[in-house]
Amino acid sequence: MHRPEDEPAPSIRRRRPLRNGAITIALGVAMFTAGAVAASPAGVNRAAESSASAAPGVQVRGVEALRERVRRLPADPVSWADLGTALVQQARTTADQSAYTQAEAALRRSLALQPGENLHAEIGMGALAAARHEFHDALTWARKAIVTSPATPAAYGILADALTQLGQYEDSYTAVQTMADLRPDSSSLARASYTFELRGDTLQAKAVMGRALRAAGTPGERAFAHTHLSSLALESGDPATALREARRGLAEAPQDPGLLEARAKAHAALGQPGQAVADYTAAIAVAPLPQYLLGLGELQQSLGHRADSESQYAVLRAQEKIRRAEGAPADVDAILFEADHGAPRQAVAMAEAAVSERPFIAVHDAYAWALHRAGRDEEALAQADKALALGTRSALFLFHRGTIRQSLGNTADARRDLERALATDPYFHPVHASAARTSIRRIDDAS
Amino acid sequence: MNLLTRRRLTAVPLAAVLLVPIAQIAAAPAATAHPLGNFTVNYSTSITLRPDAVDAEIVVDRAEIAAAQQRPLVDQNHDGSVTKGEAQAYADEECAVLTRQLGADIGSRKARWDSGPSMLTFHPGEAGLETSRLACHLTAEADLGSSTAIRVTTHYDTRRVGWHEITANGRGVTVADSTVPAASPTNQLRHYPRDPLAAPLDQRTAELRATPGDGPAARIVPPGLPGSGPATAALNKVSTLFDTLVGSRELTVPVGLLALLLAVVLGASHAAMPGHGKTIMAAYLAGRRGTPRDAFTVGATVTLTHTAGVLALGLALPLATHLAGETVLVWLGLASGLLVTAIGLQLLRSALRGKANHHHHHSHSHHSHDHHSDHDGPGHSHGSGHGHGPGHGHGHGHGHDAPAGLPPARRAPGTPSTDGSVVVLTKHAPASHSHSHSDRHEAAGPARSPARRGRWALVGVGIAGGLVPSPSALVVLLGAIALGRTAFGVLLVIGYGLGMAVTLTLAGLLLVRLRDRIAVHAAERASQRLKTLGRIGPAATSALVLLVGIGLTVRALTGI
Repeated sequence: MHRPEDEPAPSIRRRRPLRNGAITIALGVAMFTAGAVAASPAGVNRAAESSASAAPGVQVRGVEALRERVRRLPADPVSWADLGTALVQQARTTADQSAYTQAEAALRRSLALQPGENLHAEIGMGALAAARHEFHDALTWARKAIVTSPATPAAYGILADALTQLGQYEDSYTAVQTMADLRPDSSSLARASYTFELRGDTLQAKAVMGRALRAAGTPGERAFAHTHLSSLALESGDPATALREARRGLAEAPQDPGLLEARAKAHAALGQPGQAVADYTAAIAVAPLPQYLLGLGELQQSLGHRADSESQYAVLRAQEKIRRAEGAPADVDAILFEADHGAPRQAVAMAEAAVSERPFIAVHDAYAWALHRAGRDEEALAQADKALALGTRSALFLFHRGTIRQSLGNTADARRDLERALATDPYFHPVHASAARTSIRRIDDAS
Repeated sequence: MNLLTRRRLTAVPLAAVLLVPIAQIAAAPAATAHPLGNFTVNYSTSITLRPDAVDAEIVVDRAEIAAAQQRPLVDQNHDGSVTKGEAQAYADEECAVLTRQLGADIGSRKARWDSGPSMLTFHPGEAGLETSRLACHLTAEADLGSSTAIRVTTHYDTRRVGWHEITANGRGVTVADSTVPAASPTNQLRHYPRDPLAAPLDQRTAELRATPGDGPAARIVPPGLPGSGPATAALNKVSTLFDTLVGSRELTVPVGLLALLLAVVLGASHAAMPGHGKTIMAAYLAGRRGTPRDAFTVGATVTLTHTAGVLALGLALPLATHLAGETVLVWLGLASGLLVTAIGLQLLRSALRGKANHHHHHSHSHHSHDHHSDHDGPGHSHGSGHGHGPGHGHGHGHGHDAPAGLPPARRAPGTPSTDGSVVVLTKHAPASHSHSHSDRHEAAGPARSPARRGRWALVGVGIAGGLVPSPSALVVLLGAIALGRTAFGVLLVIGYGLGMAVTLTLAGLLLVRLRDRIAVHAAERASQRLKTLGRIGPAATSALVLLVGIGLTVRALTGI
C-alpha cells in the first residue's frame, strides 16, 4: 500500500470526505459535470492546465516548446513557471533528477521576475516540493497559490496531496472535493479515487478511477489511470483484470515504467515469473526506481535466484548511500528494504525521521515493520494500528500487523489480520504471502 | 551543446587547440553529483574521417546508480571486486554490442567495423560511489578519395534518460555539410552544461559529406575582427550574438530579423575596418569628379559583387571538391600577389613618367583579365589575410580594367560645372588622402575623358570593394548551410553586403562633400607646396602598392 503515495503527486488522489459516499458523490459529480460543460469550453486548455498536477506522460516535446517560449520571452514569469512545472512532470516520469534542479531554476526565475501573486510559479513550486517529498513546503506553496487565486483547481490538487501525506486526511478530502467542484477532470477524479482507496472503499475507488480514465485528455493521464486501475485490481486479488489494464496502458505507452511494473506484478500473481522478471527489467531499464528494484529483487529471491536479487539490492544500497549523503528523507521502500535486507535498527532510525516529516499511513506501516524487525513489537503495534486507522484494505499492512501481533503472542488477532491479508490479495508479496500462509498454519497447529 | 551546433565553424580550430589540454586535465573528474542525475546513461560517438578509413570512438558514461547496476555484470564471480580481467572482458563484450548498434553508410556501402581497444574505467562519484566510463574504438575501411556522403545512425539502448551526442571530424579529409558538430560539447562526456535551460542533447544520427583534403573551412575561419580596444570588443560581442542567433534551434521571425539586422551592422563595421576597399573608393571619389550619385553607384556595386562572390564561393566550396585543397588557395594567393605587384609596377612607372592615363588602362586591363579568370569565385575566398592585400590588388585591377574596353568619352553629361573644381582638387588629393594610384589618372588628365570612363571606374571600384569576400560573411554562409538553412544564410550575406555598401556609400558621400569644400579653398589659393605633394604622392602610393604586391607574393611562395 505504499504504492500510491510514492509516486508523489502525479495526480491521483482524492475526493471528498463524504459521510456516506455514493449519493453525495453522485450529486457532486453531476454538478461538476454541469459546471465543467458550462465553464470550460476548451478541452485542450484544460488538459494543459491540469497537467500542473496531473498525470505525467511523455511531455518532453512540450518541454521543448516551453523552452523555446522562454527563449523568446525571457522576461515573462508565466513562461518560466510553465517550463518549471513541465520539468517537474518530466522528472516524475523519467525519474531524471537533474530535471528537478532545472525545474527549480526555472521556477525561481519566474518568482524573481514576479515575486508576489505568481500563481503559476507557486503551483509549480508546490508540485516540485511534493515531487521531492517536501510536503510541508508543498503545503505552504499550495496555500499561497490558493490565496493568489482561490479558484484554480491545480492548487487544490497540490494542497490535497500535501495534506494526505501529512496525515491530515479530512482536510485533504475537502481539498479534493473543492478541486473536483472546480473542475471534475481526470486529475481531480484520480485524486477522488485515491481517497476511496485510502478508506478501503475499493469499489468506489475503481469506479471513480474509471471515470478519471474516461476524462483523461492526454496519453499521460490515460497511462496513469490504467496503472492505478491495474494496481487497484491486483491489490483486491484480481490479477487478470490487473494484467488487462496494464496491457491497455502499455498499448499506448509501451515504455511507461509504472505500467511495466503493474504488468510485472500481474504476471507474478498469475504465476508467470519469467514475464514478470522481463517486465521489471524493462521498467528498471527506463528508471531504476527503488520500488521496481525491490520488487524485482524480492521476486528473484522468491525464485531462488540469489545473485540476481543481490544485484538489485546492491543498487538499492547505492541509492541509500546517495540519499544519506544528500540528507534527504527516506522513502517507504528504502525503509522496508533496510528492515528486511539490511540493518533493522538503521531502518527504525530512518523511519523515525521519515514519520515525523510525513506522518502518512504507509510511513507508519514501514515504521511498524522496521520496529518489528528490530524486536520492538509493542511500539510496532501502535504504528501498525495507525497505518490501518483509515480502514485501508492493504494486504501488506495487514500482514505486517498480523506478524507483529503474532510476535506479541496475540495469535487470534494475528490470525485474523493474516487471513484478511490473504483474502484481500493472495499474491500480495512474493516472499511475505507464503510467509503469511505459513504463519496461519503454525497458529492453527499450535491451537 | 547548442553552443557547438551554433558556432560550429568558428569553434573548429579553437576547440581543436583547446580541447587537448583540457582533456588531459579532466582525466580526474571531481567527486560531485552527476550533473544529469545519477540514473543517467550517456553516450558520445566521435567519428573521425581519414582518407582511407572511418574511425569511431564510443564513450558510455554511467552515472552512479547506472554504474551500480552495471557492476554485478562486470563482477562475474560476484566476489565484490572488479579485477582488470573482469573489466576488460566486460568492456570487450559491451563494445561488441555497441559496435553492432552503430550503423554507418559510407557512400552506398555499409561500414564494417573492426574493433580496436576497449576499456572500462571507474571514477569517483557522489557519496563514495563510482561512475563508470566505457570507451570503445572502432575503425572501418573506407575510400574517401572522392566526395562521399556518410550517414551514421546509433541504435544504442537509450531507454534510460541521458545525453546522446555525435561529433564528426576529418583528418586529411574535410567534413562538409555535417549535421553534427566537430568538437564534443561535453569533451566526450566529461563536462555537462549546467544551463538550466539546456535540454540534454539527443543526437542519434549524423549526416555528412567527406571531401578529400584538409578543408578551407578551417582555414577561412577569421581570426576575429582585427585590432583591439573597446570598439572591437563591442563588435566581437555583436558577432558572437549573431552566431548565436543564426545557430539558434528554431528560427522565429524576430530572431531572424535580428540576425539580419546584425548582419547589416557587421557588414557596415567590416567595411569600416582598415585596409578595405573603402580606401580605394575614397580615393576614386575624391580624385575624380564625384557626385553623390557616384557614391551610390559604388555602394550598389559593392553589395552586388560581395553578395555574388560570397555566394559563389560559399555554395561552390562544399560541392567542388577540387577547389577545397589548400594548394589551390596558395596558388590563388600567389596569383593575386603577382597581380598586385604588376599593378604597382605599372602605377609606379606612369607616376614617374607623369604620363597620360590611356596607357595605364591598357596595361592594367591586361592584368586584370588574367586575374579575373583566376579569381572569380573561390579564388577570392582565401581572402589571404583578411583580404587587405589582395583586396587592393583586385580592386585596382578591376578599376582600370573596365575603362580599358570602352571608348573613353562616352559618358553622359554628369555635372560639367564640377569638372573645373575637380581638376584643381585632384592635383592635391594625394595630400589629403593618403594613397591610391587612382589619383594618378586624375593628375594626369582628369578633364580629358572623365565622363564614361569615370562611371566605369566607379563600378570597378565597387567591384573591388565587394569582390574580396569577407571571411566572416563566408563563415556565416557556410555555417547556415551546415545547419541546413541555406536560404537564411544567403539572406544574411545579402544583408552583410548591404551593410558594407552603407558604410562605403556614406564614406563616399562624406568625401564628395569634403572635396567640394577643399576644392573651393584650393581653387582660391593653390599653394606651391600642395602642388609638390601632388607630384610626389602618386609615386609614393604606387610604390606602396608595389610593396604590398611583393609582400603577398613572397607570402604565397612560402606557403607552397
